[in-house]
Amino acid sequence: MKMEDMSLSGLDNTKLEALAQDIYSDLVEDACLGLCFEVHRAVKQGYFFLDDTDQESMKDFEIVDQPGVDIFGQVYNQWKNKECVCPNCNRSIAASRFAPHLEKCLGMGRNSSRIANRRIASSNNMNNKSESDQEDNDDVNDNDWSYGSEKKKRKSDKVFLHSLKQHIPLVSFIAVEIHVLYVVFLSTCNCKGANR
Amino acid sequence: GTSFPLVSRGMNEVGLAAKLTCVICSRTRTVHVSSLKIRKTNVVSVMSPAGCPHVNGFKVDNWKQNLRVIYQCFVWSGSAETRKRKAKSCICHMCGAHLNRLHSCLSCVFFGCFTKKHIHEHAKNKRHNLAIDLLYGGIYCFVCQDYIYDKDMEQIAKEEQRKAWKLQGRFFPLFNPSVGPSGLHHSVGEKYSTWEPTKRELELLRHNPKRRKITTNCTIGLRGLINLGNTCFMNCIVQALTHTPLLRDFFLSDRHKCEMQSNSCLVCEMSQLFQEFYSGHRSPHIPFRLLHLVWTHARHLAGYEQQDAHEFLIAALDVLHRHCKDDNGKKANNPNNCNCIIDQIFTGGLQSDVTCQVCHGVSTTIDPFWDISLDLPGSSTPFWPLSPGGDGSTLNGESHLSGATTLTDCLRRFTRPEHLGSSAKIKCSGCHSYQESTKQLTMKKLPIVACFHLKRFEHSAKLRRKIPTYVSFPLELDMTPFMASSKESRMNGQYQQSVDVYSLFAVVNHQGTLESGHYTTFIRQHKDQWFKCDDAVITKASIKDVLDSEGYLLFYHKQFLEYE
Repeated sequence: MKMEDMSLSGLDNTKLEALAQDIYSDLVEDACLGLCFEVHRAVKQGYFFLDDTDQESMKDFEIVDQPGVDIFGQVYNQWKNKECVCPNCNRSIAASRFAPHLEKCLGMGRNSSRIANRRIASSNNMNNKSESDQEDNDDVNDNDWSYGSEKKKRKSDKVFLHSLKQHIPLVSFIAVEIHVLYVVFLSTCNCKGANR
Repeated sequence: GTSFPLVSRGMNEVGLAAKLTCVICSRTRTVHVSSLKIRKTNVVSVMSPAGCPHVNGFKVDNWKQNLRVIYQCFVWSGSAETRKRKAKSCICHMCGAHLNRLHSCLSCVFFGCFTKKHIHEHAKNKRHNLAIDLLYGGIYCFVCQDYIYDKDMEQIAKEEQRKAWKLQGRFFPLFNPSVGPSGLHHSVGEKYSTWEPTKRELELLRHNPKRRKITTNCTIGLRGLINLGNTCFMNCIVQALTHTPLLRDFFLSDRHKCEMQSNSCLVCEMSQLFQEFYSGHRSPHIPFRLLHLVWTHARHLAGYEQQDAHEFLIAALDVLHRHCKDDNGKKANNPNNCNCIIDQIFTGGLQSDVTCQVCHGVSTTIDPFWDISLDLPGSSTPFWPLSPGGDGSTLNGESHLSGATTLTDCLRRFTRPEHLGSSAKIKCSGCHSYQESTKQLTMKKLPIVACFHLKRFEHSAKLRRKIPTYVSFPLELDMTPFMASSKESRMNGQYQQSVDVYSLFAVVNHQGTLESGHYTTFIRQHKDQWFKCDDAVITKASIKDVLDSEGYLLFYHKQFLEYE
């Protein structure tokens, strides 16, 4: 087929159709040839085999679709004993309680400031009797995390206030007094969620 | 549609038959391509380079320049003139054919076709051992009787091809599109080339034949997340992000180069997260480091009882954006000119047009956004009617027969012209006085990933509650009607083509009440498979499960990525 200049205007539809078909066939053949070259090069350069997989590995990772198990074929709710190391204090914490721990550990949240201030207060306090009980109360009180435990918090607040009034020497009284007022304000204020 | 099955795969021959299927009438057609014979000896000795010793005779004097000229003139035609010249001059010197796999002799000016063996004859007669295929630029050695791959010659071929493609005006912005102030693209990238292993890597791969290939029935890429104490708000977002295709590709191709000194880069942690998800581990991942990093970098989040997944998403994107390095090497400090992966994927532009009711002058502002928050019927602000004199036409295949509100309804309401009342007069620069106006929002630029936030949690002065109104959302969403450009077209009476079509790929749901609830995510893998992610438990889900769910955060991915 020799290369020649040709005018398209004189041709009828069937001839144009045939020409278009020819060009299309050529393009498709060329595209296929390109793919052949890619494969040829991959084989010669030695990386063609990389596409292969071994059947065992593939079976290992097959998706499971059955009731009672997840896609890995594992039963639900078996992950109770996971632990992790807190990046802040390096203690080993149960994974499911890591978030509340981290909240206190990083000194965030309303409760953390209360605990911190209490520690300041108790370090000036001669009588440490009731202090440790309250600390335990707080750690146990990880239900801080949901709204349901508001009542519990108020109770421990009241205990805190009571012990303070009894034991604090005058020097640190003012600082604590301000904080006490703050705590009272928080426990009566209903705008917790509105601070977003 | 096309499939390329390997029809025969003996040791000596690779034959290909391409089976093409018409997407409209489903007729099939098979095209056989003549096989390329691969010499057995060459395949076995793969440890040695795929070149051959016979090129040494060619590599003398000014061979590099000569080779360049051959590529420029006869293989990669850059400009229209070279294309014409190639078309006219490249014909077989023996039979005049311009197809039939024409080759050029490397030692003299001779073109011969391969299929009729005219180039072979020339090679034998003149003892010119090398020829180049004019279609793809491959070098054929007549002594080896095969195509050979010489490193130096391939280097020249690549360079010439790049030059030619530039001349043809093709731009390939990969993770670096940049649009200048005139709106014209001014950054030219590289032609995409696949990864090739080095010799050392090949060796290692050969010695370690166990492979994980990600097929449709594969769990790789899916992994549960341990709940760290009501942290499902974080887990659900992590699942959505790790299944965002572009983000996944960015991290798995190791594109983050960290500049931060300490171990506190959230982007690095994100990268690590992808490694965990694709590790093949079946036990759920414990994202404690992620929580720690997000809380240290977004202090405002930590310490509230019930966290909102939407808030977490925005905070996480913000920290990632801050920690990302701009592709141009600048820190992502300038919010208007950032090029980090977060901005490339998630940032859109919201156009606000305020029209003065007196002089009809329009004041336009464009603000960046990462998500679109939509009001729902049932909240304190009235939902219906969508717009003054609004119509009830159907869009996106959603019908109003059932009476359910659709996502499109919400979007129409979002982009409705709103009369700002007499108490909210705007100073008009045209009238030089305060006038009543209408305000309308449209999308100036849609992000590649569009996140819709259905405002289910109402925090007004009087009440705090969850709005459980069912909103039906589609699998495919056409955003074209809500674009600023469409609004202009409509005003000019022009027809808007659907170009901004999006596909749903993740849905975050909230079950329960405002006080205590639980977040889960549906994510999409491998085009049409859906999975439910409920903290540590991943199960298969149906499309119906997904579309019937209430929906809180809806993630859509643009179907066609265009060069900017």
